[in-house]
Amino acid sequence: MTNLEIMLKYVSEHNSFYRISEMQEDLTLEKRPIIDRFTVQKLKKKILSEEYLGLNSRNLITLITSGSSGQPLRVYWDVKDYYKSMVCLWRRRYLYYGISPTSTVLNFNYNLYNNVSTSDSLRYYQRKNILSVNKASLSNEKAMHELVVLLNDMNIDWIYVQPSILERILNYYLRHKIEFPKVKYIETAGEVLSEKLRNNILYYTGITVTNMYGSEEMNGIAIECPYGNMHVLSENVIVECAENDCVTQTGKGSAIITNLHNRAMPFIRYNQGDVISLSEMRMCQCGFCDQMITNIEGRERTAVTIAGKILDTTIITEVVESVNNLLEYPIYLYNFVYLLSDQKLIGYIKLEELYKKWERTVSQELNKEFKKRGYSGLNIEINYNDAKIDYNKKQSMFIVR
Amino acid sequence: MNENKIKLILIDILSALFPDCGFDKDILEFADLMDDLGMDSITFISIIVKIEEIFGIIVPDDMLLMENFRSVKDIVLIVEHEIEGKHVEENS
Repeated sequence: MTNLEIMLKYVSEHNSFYRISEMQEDLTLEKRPIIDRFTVQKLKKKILSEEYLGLNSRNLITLITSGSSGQPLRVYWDVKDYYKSMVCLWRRRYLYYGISPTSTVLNFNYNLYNNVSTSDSLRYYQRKNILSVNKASLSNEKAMHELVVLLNDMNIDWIYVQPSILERILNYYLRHKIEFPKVKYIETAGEVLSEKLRNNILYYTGITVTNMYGSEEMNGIAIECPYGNMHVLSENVIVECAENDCVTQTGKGSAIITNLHNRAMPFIRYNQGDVISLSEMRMCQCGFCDQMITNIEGRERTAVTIAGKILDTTIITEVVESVNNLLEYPIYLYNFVYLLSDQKLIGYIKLEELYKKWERTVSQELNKEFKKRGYSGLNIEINYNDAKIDYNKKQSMFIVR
Repeated sequence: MNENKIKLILIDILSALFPDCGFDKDILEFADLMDDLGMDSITFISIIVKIEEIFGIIVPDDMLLMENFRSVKDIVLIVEHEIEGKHVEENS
């Protein structure tokens, strides 16, 4: 049986959401419905496979994704399946670029790392070969300087970074006329990589950036080979595209992705929220024959500078995640708008039904979290009027007007 | 490739991955990778990608469990099995 058939057989036997009686024997994707983040958010734990319901966090890895969509989602993985899924991506990294999990890496995430005394300082954590930096803490010059000092002391093999953070770091190095660290490899993920940034990195550092397309729901979806082709990681996912409810294996449309490993929280024909162009399978000079993703359109990243500090989707995502973690996930959807004329940040928040009466508490905590990060002078208004929520998920959850 | 050669290559890989483990190469083959060497997800995946590249094999998904990689002997058996399977496929 193929990995897809194994997964579809598993969900038809062990997952009440995916168990569709007329499809019990059907081990193909053809007639299966597309699901999206709204569906998965509403289902909550009902999408978990039966053997994983009630299991504690020791057996499950929990990843939180929100990014630029403004729709927080917790993704659960069985530890064993998570490793199987990660191996698919690491195989290519090692074969193409000689990078292994033990290579020294600088990466960026939302982990809080409270190892600092002021809100302006860099928050980071170093363990063995990994230097992890809280990306929201890179919002000012002082933190950037601290990062430069850290990188001078370490011998980093590779950097795993979002394009907007990479651009910020490059600009800092150029502005202060400092030599960029000599790393073997830079991999970008999480946002659209512009040709301008790619070319700038190559011009100023000599390093060719590799783009990886992935998500917390799927792990690695596709990765660029040394010849610049973005190969679908077919050992990990099946990628299709949909336009006007018509799903095809090639063409342009919404990325519809099926993960072949996650049994705990299966994603079968999941609309990832990005628009892609997908080719048929073809042989590449790198030696692999795969489908290629030839274009990805994601949401634009917006940022504004307020009193020397950058405010962007990373800060807002971290603030909302902090409040959600503290109060057990009251925030269901959010959009933020910064009005330049009024110098005011307006947050449009939709709360879970259970937390409908928590508006004052949520507002207080959101304000506290912004203040903790040094935005104490920021004029913030939180609006719980559902009608104001932007459900058009084609645009970023943070806009500057 | 015979079992002994696989074992020697594997011991070299493990020595490089666990440089401060306190085990000499000649007794590494008797160590439990999880309990004695502290194998974690990082070193586990590193072992996988390195043995796949060096021996020219793909470890099947159902074998990708840390419990299957607890000792040099366990890994040698997996490598031998996949090399053999590859030869059978090439000759058929």
